[in-house]
Amino acid sequence: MLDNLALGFAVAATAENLAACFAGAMLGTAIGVLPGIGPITTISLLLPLTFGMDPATGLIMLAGIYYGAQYGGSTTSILMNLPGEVSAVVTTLDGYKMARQGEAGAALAAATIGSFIAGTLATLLIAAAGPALAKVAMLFGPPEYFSLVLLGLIGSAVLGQGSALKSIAMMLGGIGLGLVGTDLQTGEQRFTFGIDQLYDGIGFTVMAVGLFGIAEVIRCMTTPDAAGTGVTPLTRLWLTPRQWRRITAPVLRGSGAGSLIGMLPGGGASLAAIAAYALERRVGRNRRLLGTGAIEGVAAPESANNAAAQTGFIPLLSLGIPPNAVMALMVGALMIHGIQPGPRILETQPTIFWGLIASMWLGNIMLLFINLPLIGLWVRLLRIPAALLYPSILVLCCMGIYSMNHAALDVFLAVAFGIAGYFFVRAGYPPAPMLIGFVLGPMLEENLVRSMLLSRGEWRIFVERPVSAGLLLLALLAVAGVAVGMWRRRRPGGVRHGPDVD
Amino acid sequence: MPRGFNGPQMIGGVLLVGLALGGLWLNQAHELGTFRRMGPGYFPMLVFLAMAVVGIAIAVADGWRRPAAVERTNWRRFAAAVAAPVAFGLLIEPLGLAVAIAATTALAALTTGKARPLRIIGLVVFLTALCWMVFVSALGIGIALFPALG
Repeated sequence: MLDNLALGFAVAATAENLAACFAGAMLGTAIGVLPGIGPITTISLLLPLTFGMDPATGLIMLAGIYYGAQYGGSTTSILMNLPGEVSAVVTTLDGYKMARQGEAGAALAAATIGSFIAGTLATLLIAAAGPALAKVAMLFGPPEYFSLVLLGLIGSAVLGQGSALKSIAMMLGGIGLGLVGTDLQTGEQRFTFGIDQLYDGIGFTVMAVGLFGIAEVIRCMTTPDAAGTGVTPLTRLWLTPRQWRRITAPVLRGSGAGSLIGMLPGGGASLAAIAAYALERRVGRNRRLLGTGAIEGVAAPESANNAAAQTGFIPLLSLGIPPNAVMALMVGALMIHGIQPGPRILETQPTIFWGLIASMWLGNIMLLFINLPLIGLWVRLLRIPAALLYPSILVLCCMGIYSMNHAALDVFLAVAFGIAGYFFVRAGYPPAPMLIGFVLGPMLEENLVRSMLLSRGEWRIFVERPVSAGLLLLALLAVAGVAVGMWRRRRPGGVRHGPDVD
Repeated sequence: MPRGFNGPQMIGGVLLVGLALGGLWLNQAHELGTFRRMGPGYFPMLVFLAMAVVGIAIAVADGWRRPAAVERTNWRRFAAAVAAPVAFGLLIEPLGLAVAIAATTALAALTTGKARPLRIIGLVVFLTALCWMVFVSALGIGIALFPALG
């Protein structure tokens, strides 16, 4: 492991990759700090920038963008009570109250320091667990992979936010969109309507930028301006010794819960933050203070979402299965660079695997500096009027898409996805599962076809092989859990409609 | 708690079923094959069948749900927000970077109530310079800055 980490640092510490990591973390923070814009949107917007780079450099930059955006979102939550996405909602509960009580500096410091510690622990976990899991995955045949992909799909649909049925509908829609193009087995054209540009399938970036980037900007532009108001004043950005003691246990608990949830299908940063907050409410020493501006309520979820943001790379890099929509974006980015994510990535592309891990840790150090001394810069960014901000984002979106293939058609397709994405969210259909279905659909089909060839058309192969049966059982349990939950909510008095947030 | 059947709310589920049926119809062009040797039409068939089932389930569930409060869309702003990137796609090739950015920025600025002309001009100049530096100069993407004259 030490040799491998040394290799990783050798890759990550080249001038080019350090610059990419820094640029990614900086840009991610800058865009993630904007109200209403979460990590998925930020990555989608900046994805086209990384295509011209060397694969390792591009991926390092994307990872930097991701955790940068994650940090940036917490700044807006604490200072303005405007969460960019669900994982940050939890932070507003205590973070904004702390800011109102004149403790903004301590809240930001707790978030940043907690994230750094969690990031360090998660990096070590990836270095230890990634190769072990990859070794297991090497033994997987098509039936195991089919069951694993199915578990990933079902898990992310039922554990994610919003209605489980609607999530499944979106996931199936994503699989359907993934069918467009040339069939891998026979070379036959499917659902291309004779349009040449569709022979290679629908462009992944076009879809992501449209569904998340453009849709989000349309939503921001059509709702009355909420931005630019009520930034609470900053105070000293450090913790008192008493506060240090108060956050130690919550940060460790948050890191643990976050690391675990980040690896689960459908887990990811949002669920990690929610779970860590719930855990703190149950076992924390100051649990009664939570919700009134307690520093534990900032440290625990912020540590958890950062740990989860990183451990999400474990299933991606070792099994080739993205556990959530952000990781699905990473799969898309890898494939554009011609790299098939999966257990073989460790053998064939050790520089990418270890370089990425090492850069995550370096990126976390950079974020410590980007966030604490430069916080004034981000606060100033929040004061940019919407009239300047959203047109700029839209122009950069269009430029990014157009520059990939010099195709105006790509821009129009992205706009179509943007309009669709806008209405999906309005109607309560979460867009994230669509992206996951789009990425995992072709893997599901390939492994199904291969399993059937292997077993001579015997469906029992999926339950006769123990690993595959176990994975299917987990998927079944996930569905059963949700069904029970839905049935309980249907009973009188149990109906509760929360706001739909993606 | 008022509970009654509400037809219009079923539209999402009905659309899904329609989409699934459309997919199945298009899928007739592809050979299904058998369990043992699946043809290119087999997996799509499974996907669209699942979609139809989920669509029916959603239609039934939504039909009996209380209507949710839907935020109202400002259609004038929506039209401008959609027109802005479309204008970019239409103008980038014939008229070059500067014109496309100017049109996109101006349309997008329409969505924010009070747009000050000088500010927008400043923004156009800034964005054109930025895009030229990032995409044309640094990433080496060949896009004309201004329309070719002549």
